[in-house]
Amino acid sequence: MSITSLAGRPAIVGVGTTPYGRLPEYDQYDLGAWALKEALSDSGLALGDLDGLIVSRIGDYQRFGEMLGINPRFTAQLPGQGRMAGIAIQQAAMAIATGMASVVAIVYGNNGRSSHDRYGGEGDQYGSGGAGQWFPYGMTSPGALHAMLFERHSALYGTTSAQLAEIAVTFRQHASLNPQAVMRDPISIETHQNSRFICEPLHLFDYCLINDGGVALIITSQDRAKDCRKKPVYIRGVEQATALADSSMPPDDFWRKPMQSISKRIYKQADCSRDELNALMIYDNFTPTVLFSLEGYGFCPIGESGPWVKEGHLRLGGRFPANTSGGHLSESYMQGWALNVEAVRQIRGECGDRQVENAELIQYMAAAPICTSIIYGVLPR
Amino acid sequence: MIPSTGHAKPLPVIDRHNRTYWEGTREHELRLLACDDCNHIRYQTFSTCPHCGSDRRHWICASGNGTVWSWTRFHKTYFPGFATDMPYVVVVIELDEGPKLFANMVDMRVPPKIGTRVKAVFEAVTDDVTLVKFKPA
Repeated sequence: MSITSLAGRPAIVGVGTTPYGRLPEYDQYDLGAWALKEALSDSGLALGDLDGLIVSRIGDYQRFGEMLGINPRFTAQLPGQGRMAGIAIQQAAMAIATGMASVVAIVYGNNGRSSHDRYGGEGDQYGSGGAGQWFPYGMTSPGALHAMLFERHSALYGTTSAQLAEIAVTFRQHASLNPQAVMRDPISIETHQNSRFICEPLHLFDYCLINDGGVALIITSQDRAKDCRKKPVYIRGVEQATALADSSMPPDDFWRKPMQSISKRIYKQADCSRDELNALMIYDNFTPTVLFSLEGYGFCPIGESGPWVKEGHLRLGGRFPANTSGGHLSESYMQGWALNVEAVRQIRGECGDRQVENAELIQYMAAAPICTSIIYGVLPR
Repeated sequence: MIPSTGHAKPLPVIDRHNRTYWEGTREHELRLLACDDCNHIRYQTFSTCPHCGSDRRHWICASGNGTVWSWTRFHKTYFPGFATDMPYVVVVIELDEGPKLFANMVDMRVPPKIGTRVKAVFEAVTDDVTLVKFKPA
């Protein structure tokens, strides 16, 4: 059974972001609170209007609530994993749809750069139960796992590193039009190909950018949205599917099965088709994830994502402009959160030089052991 | 996890779930858990069978035969103990019995071709710990 529409028509009515980069004076709580204040100001609502709170990567929901002096009637805390961004939005939409809350703030604070997060080595917690059991072999880091997946994809389908470079170059071009992006100098295919390997076959420019920053979104119902400052951006569809079984190891199908499961349901829920989408926001922790997502979510045939991106479809002006902010690769690794904000800003028409014309329907998608996707619309149906 | 044994690389944490596995490698056996009820074979030392949910299980000795599923070569030094091995290769091996695992080839410098048939070998790194590695069959 699938959901054909969400009760209450949940909508994003406020988005807030801090600058991204090196912000050593701020911890996760400060960054989250800063982003939340920006989001509230964007929405025209006040702290006292919130009755739902979901935090991610912020260490302690209780301390965060105490800091803000709020007593929500719906509270949840999610770990600081990128796959949680879509889950936070899904839970907020569910809270609105069921009436369990009327105004939900979802808040993310990440001080990974200043706290020297490396995503590899002794502190590596990536993977099922943490990565520790593989350290004796020198195996560590999500980058290594994605390098192995890409090498496998290459062996099966002939996908090349130069095709990954197209993704890095395209998103950097988009970032050059985004004043908030951390890396704004355009790069070429050669720059990518000549950059050092981290986990071969992945180069430096196949990796996202670890930074400090905060992101917050305010979600409410269509009814309540009428009182807000800006026109609402509707959550037309939000779906999740997982591949937790056997998830210690890289998946044989590049997470295709859960993505296909989502695709079967989400367009029905959103009452639109893939062809109607104006832009995509693709979780790009590493460039190969973009390829796996395009295949899994059905934008190109299986195994053909490499040549497909080379045709330029993801560029501004292309068929499906993607990660118009620069994404994790060039704006900042805000673990899916800032990509969702970019979707909202595009639909509002706030994106300046990087604005997609007539952006009315945008899909966010993530590929991982938990896959999530969201379709945003300028109209509720 | 930095040991005082002279082995500078990280060592496994041996616990009640995986003790039999690590006793096996010392005897040059690659042991896997098999479900008493559905025969599903797993590498992870879960108490419950991920295939049928049974908690009845026994250890089997795997053939040690498998196939290279993929590899990556580390150019970034995440572990000081691997500094002299840079760049080194980690492989994913798909065992003939079904489970996959991460490991090293005996020669860590050169990536093997995906699809290469391999055989397990056993490398004692401390008195307590013997690692499973692979070489072309």
